[in-house]
Amino acid sequence: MSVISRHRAAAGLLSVALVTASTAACGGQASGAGGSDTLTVISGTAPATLDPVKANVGSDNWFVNLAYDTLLRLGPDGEIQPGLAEKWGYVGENNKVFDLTLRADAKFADGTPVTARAVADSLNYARKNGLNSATWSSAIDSVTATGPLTVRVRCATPHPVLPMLLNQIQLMGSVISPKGLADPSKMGSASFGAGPYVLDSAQSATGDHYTYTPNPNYWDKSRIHWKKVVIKVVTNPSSGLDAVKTGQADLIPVIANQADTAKTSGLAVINAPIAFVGVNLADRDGTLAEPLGDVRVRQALNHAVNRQAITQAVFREYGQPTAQLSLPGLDGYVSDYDNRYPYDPERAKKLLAEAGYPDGFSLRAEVQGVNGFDLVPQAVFQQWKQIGVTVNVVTDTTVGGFLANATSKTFPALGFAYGGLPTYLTSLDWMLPHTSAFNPFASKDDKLTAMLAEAAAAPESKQAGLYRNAMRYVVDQAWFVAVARQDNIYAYNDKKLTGVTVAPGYLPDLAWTVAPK
Amino acid sequence: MSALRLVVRRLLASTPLLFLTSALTFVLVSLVPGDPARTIAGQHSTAEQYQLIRDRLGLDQPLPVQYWNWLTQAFHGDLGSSLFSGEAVTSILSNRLPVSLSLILASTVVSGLAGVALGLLSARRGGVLMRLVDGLATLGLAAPPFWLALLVIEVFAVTLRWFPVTGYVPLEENPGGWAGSLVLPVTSIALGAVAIIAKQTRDSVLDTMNKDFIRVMQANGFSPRSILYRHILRNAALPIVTVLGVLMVSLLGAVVFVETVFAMPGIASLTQQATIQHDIPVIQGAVLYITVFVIVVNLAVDLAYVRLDPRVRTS
Amino acid sequence: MTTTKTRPALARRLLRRPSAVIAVAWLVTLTAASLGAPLIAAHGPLDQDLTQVLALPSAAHPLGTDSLGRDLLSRLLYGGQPALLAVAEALAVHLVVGAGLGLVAGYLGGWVDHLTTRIGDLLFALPAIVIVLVVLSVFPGNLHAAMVTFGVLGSPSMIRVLRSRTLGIRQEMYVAAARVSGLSDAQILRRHVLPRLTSTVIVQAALFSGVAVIIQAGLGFLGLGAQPPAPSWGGLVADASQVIDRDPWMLVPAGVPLVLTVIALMALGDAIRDTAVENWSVSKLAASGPVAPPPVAEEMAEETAGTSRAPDPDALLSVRDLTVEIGGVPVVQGVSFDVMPGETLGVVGESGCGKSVTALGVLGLVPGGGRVVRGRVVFDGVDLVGSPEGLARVRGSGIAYVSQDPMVGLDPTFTVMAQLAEAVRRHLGTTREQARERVLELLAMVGVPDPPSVARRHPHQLSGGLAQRVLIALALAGRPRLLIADEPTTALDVSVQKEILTLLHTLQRRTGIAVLIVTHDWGVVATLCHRSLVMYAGQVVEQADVEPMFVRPLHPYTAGLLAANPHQAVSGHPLVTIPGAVPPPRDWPVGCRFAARCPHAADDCRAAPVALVQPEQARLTRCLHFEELVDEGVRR
Repeated sequence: MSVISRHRAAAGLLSVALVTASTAACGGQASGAGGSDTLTVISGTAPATLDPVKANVGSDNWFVNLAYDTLLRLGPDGEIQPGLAEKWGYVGENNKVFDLTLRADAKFADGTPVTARAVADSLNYARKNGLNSATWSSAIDSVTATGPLTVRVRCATPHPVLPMLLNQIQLMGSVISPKGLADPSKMGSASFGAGPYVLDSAQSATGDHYTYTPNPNYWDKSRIHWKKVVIKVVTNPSSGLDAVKTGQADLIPVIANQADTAKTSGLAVINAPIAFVGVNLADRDGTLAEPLGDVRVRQALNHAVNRQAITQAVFREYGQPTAQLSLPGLDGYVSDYDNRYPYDPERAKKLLAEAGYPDGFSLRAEVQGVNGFDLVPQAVFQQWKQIGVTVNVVTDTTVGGFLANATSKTFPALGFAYGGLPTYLTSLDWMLPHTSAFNPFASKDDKLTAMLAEAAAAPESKQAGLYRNAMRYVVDQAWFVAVARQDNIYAYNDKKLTGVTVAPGYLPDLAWTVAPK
Repeated sequence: MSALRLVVRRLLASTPLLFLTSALTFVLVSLVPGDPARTIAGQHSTAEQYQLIRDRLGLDQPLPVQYWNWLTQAFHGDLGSSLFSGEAVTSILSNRLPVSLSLILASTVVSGLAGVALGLLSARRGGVLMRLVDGLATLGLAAPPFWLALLVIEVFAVTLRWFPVTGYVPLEENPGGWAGSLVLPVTSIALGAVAIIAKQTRDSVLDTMNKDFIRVMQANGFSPRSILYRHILRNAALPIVTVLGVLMVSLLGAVVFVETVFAMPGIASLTQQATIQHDIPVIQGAVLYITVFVIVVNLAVDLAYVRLDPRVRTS
Repeated sequence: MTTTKTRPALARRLLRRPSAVIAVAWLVTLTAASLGAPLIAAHGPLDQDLTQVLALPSAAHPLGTDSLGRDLLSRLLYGGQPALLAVAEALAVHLVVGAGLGLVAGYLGGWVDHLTTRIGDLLFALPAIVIVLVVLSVFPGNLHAAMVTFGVLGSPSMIRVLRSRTLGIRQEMYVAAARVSGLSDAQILRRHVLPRLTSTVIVQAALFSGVAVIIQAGLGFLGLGAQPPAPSWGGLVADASQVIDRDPWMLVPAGVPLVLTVIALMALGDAIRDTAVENWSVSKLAASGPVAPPPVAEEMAEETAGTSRAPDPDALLSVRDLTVEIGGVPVVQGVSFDVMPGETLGVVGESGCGKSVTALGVLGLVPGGGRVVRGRVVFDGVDLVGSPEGLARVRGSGIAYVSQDPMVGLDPTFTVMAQLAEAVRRHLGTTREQARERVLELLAMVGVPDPPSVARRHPHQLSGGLAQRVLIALALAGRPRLLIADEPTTALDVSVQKEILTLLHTLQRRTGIAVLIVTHDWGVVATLCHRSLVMYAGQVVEQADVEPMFVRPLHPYTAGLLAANPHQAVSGHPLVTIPGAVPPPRDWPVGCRFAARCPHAADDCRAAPVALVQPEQARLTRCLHFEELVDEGVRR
């Protein structure tokens, strides 16, 4: 067990499962599960905060989604559905103007109506103070109420996936009431949303358990399936699973090592790809590690990795080898690129020799010392040894330390775990010349930048093809060694629950779909 | 000296300790690389947002100023709020205090009772039992609490299912559940502690048994029961109480691990977690609470001395 | 005992203990295996076999593998290196700070001592683990900084132990002598103090090392120690906890070696302490093994001794052939005597002769785990030897006991009233109220001024004389018929001695109680006793009525003791002393035990055990040449 605590997820939509594996050192578990009208779920981490725009995407979604409705809703099939907004769409060309029309009957839990003004204020608060999607919303220029129920989003540069940003997965679309915005510090201990439930502070203990009760003013009563929803924080994965096995709780994200145990004890287990893990070859210009400046070296490092073996060892059947930064079902996914770099140490050596490093070289790397996060990079480094590349690893045990180190430009290679996203969002972190924890050297490739700009402005029908081209290009350039995509795994009591679904980029929706059987 | 005077004198003497630990922690924590603003900001925020957070947290102020601000607030009972959740530190700590206190007090009571009983028994019987206590002592001290905790979970919670795997049930919510939730953690903590107390009890009982006054009592026909339970135990109690006090403080170390493994929301694990996050107000508050706890324990030991030993009372 | 001899001896004796041998063997093996890991381990600590993930033990992987198919044995051995280094670092700091400060504080005393003690107390009050965690967040992953901090924070225990030991040694004579003879402080410390502290330091160091092993593993477990993928012991436990659902086995190789190492360190500490303690406590009485008792001339005693082998039915107490062993060594042999009702019998001799053991043997309370192995102790017609019931009935109400040092003869934690009342109620079965009254009577009876006030006090508030009176009152609580007083005045001031003797005398006259008084003071014998018994080296050597014995001793030892009596010293003449010392029980010779110190000793004395003979009515002596003494006395 490691000590990384309720950390800011290392990537946008990092799986709850990954976070579970990180087993924070806080929290605990309350008393036994309630009756059949109470839903009790286990979270592996306590929420960083309950402020929707500061909470961690992935690990904190349940805590926020129950109390805050979002403008749009993502379905398990990847389709965008109505939420607080009934209608939405881009206006004109270039994906720069986006209009939303709100439903008329929506009210906040305090009884006040959800107006276009309130929505615009909430989104502007998110843009200004939000921490979980500041990069991804950076293209937005203004959000204004254009009528009592209409909101317009204007962008400075094309933003092709605003609907993806405004659903329940990316939290910035969570609408906060004017009362909440008046004193944001109160959002830590109370809820100010228009969601199906409200946080019951009296029955909650920060870091330990959180209780939600139905919102009497919710616009769609048919969505409220429970008299009470309790999220217990249990940081030890074994303990959490055991709580579900013994009926103390109903649903829990688990890690691959637990899946068999969960199945044999009669729980239902579901899974879907959620994130990819590997090593980021961040110093593509060879500033610190000269060899990395050569594309042949980067490709050699890719060929030296036995993805199949690592994936099988670490994730078993809950992971698949891949070389790209996308998941099946997302716009940039290139099916034949999972095996773009077959395991071939001979070829790797040849490439190294061609680049002028027949005897290999050594470099420093930083990995995040969260269990599960550092296993794959460790395995990779060990395999690189076979082609003469030795790695001096620094393992950070704190998120702050990792981020500080990652952005300090002192490590040419970084271990990573990154959630699957529409390629536009991924590109902001990885492929465009902005400094970020995934592109600390702000690597610039004019061709790539141009390809991405074209894709962002393209009509929806053409976007997928253009993004696939960009993905092929960046994988060919070997900016990173992606190794595997990892599944999000949930175990739950299927005698009690129905509607528990997981899909690439989609988390089980406690607020709407998880219902009693 | 009267108990009251002792309490006052002790508390006055402890004040420097409070200052020292709080200042020391403050300086140490401020040296921690990777400031809290960086952690709060995460990786999807802009440089301006980061600076904004720094300003809000007052991280750009000189260190003495930051400490002074904290100190003046602390004097008014305000320990600030968590840099992350924004919740008041006093409220976080008071939520978690019962957990750690339950663990420590239950472990102390268990190790006190079981330890004294075992120690007495082995002092009287000697031989095999004495060796057994010695063996148990060695084993209890040698098994790291975190490993022992995993082991007892695997055996008693997962395999045998006698006790809950994790978590803490508040006493006021369900006393039975509270006791049940403490069994395994306290076992992991107290195994070594029982052994220490048993050993200490045996040694001081044997030591007292060889005292002249015990021989005088035996020779003059005092009842063996009274000699053992009234006279020997009371005289042997002084070193036992001392060890018990030291133990209570050192149990904090074991509690850090055990709270982590059993997922119990206590102060010890909070401290560790806050240290990692650099949540300075929380660390400061937790260290303050822990120091006060240490002071209170020492005070209790002193008071027990006064109660038990007339020489302290009248000198 | 000189220092150069001690250490090898300590090591040798240590290796006689199986636990110590096993502990040392484990620690040496572990250290060697860790340091030699590259030579021993079949796999590198990072070598992964992704097809053999979380495998159970096999020929290829004796302890199984971890999540990446890395060999656990190899990771364990390689992980031992940082672990041992960390422990060594903490220990070094602990020794330098703890032992250094403790030594200096104890040796120099004064403000240095005061300051050190204060600092120690302060360090002691700090929550060590929390400070270590904070330090680790300042120096992330720096186990060295953490262990150094821990070494400092753990030093108060060492400071305390060493300070008090040094303080004790400093006050001993020979260090004072060394100081006089012009050695510097450093030399005194090195030559005289340090050697005697060695075992204390080693014991403390072993215990601390055990704790340090756990702490360094704990930090590794929390992910704060050696950085993955580098192997560490704590990291192994953390890894095991990650896969506990799939592979509980990994808990075993991860934890058991850790536990064994700490156990070995603690067992070693215990063994060293026990060995050292054994070394200090080899006293005159207790030796480390039984020895064959030297032969006694009992058959002759029976024929010639005036006291027959059968107990005297007229006597209140009749002791026959009392033999007591401590630790298998006989310390009192074949002692016989009678105490008549109302009589006072004095038992005289130097210390180490077995007087006190004889007195306590009567009560079945031989100190130091000794026991009565032979003989009879008949009190009021009941044989007390081997009769716990008899003893329980007699103690306090038949025979009472007053100890040597009144200041430690009472329970310091109870008031005088509480202790006396307990005795009264026990023996007389009175009510609480009656008992209180009786206590005040008793206190008045033993001449305590203002009994109610004294009754309220605790023992430490009493003067020596007062405490002795209280002890006598305690002894009288059960209305005994025989009082055994073991050197009742030795620990008191001369003026107080007289008062207590007077008190005993008065009590005896008034109550008719018989007294058996152990003493080395002829003045006491002269004042109180009717008859006197002289003991030497565990045997009775002479017995007579007081006056004849004073006038005409029939044993050279008695004569020597009388000559050495300060009361009889002629002013202006140096005090006569008997040369030599009482031999310890192990060294008792076959023949006359006093021969080595006797001016009259001849070859026949040393040849065979000497029997008690009855040279005249009501006198016994254990001397072959008592006639010479008689002649000498005549000449003188």
